Amino acid sequence: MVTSLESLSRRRCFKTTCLSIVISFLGTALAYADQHPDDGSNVTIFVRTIEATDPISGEPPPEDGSASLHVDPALKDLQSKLAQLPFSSFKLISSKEEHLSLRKKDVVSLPNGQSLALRPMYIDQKRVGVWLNWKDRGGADILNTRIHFDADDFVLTGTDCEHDAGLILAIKAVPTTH
Amino acid sequence: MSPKQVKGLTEKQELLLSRYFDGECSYIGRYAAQSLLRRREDAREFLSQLSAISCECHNTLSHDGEKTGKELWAQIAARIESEERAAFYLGERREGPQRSPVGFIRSFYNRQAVIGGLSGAALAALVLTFVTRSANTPETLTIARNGSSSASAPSEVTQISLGQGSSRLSASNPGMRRRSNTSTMEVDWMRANGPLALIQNPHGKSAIIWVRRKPGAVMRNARQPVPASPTMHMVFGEGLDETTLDRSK
Repeated sequence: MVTSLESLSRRRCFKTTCLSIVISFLGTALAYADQHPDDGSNVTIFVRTIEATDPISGEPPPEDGSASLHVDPALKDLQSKLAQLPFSSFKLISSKEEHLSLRKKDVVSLPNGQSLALRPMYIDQKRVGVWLNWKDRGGADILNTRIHFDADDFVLTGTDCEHDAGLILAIKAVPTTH
Repeated sequence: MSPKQVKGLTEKQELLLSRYFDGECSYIGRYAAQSLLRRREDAREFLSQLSAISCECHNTLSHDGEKTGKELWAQIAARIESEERAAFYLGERREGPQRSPVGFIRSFYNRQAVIGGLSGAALAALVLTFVTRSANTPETLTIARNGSSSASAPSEVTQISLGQGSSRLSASNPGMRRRSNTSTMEVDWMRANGPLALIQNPHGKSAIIWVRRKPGAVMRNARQPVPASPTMHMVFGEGLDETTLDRSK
């Protein structure tokens, strides 16, 4: 009688332990699935570093004042955007292409000792969400943000530098085609 | 008058057999009693004792004058005496089977296993959520004051969406959801080492994020210096439009 009760209790204990393991596993799996919806996809990120010089002060030039701009031929596709900035000369310093997995962080080294950490959050044919952290040479944040933009478009971000110059990053993310 | 306590049967089983003998069982009770009788020798013995007692009672009641009240009282007195003796040597008769401490501990641990499993699952989910989010989200969101980075303002999440020719600034859920298919640039949150300027091309879809780290730097289209307050400036191609974060709350 006592033995059968003990075996029953042991069986019940085993069942509850199994149940708790299954519940834990399911909970963890659900949370992980919720956080990692598209882990199979890859993203190609283009980062162009641009040096802006010859600052312009005073009234902005007219809309068709692109003639006064000196834009590197490799940056012609960004000319309309660069024209919004208070500089008249733009030179491409470096251009990088990184293949990243979704939700994976990658750090791109920039030519002047700065770094850009990128983590693509999601991407489809039209939109992309990226967390980016631009750090200066000393490791301090210049910009830390999470933005969403069109996948076929460059996002520009810049900052002031020494000698009245500016440093601009042009970032674009497209889905990687296998 | 009750049958002898059959060793091995619990009080519940004895009660079940008594009800079965009296024909008071439900269908399930009858089935349980019959299966008990099939399986257990002591149950059959208990039932036979019950029937013997029943017969004895029947005979006692039907027998005229053979057993006087005096004899009956003698039997009762003997029974009381034997009970008292048993109580003295063996202790008081217990009401029901008492649970052993080991059984109690085991059931306690069983319950603990279930609760532990559930809380473990919840904790794992919570930790995963926070780990993945904290990897993407800075601890604080601060818009720098006076061009220097401020350290520990409370965390704040802001969504900024730049539409065609109009601007809106609104707080939103920080959850990482896919944004709408509007052709704009949207910002969940932003922290910069200096005042920020969002410069939008009136013909373009996205904006340029400019971090002013030199206080004296002059932006194109900007008509006034940047005040030393947590301010998000949205400078558009046609005119200056600025919205403070304080106003957006």
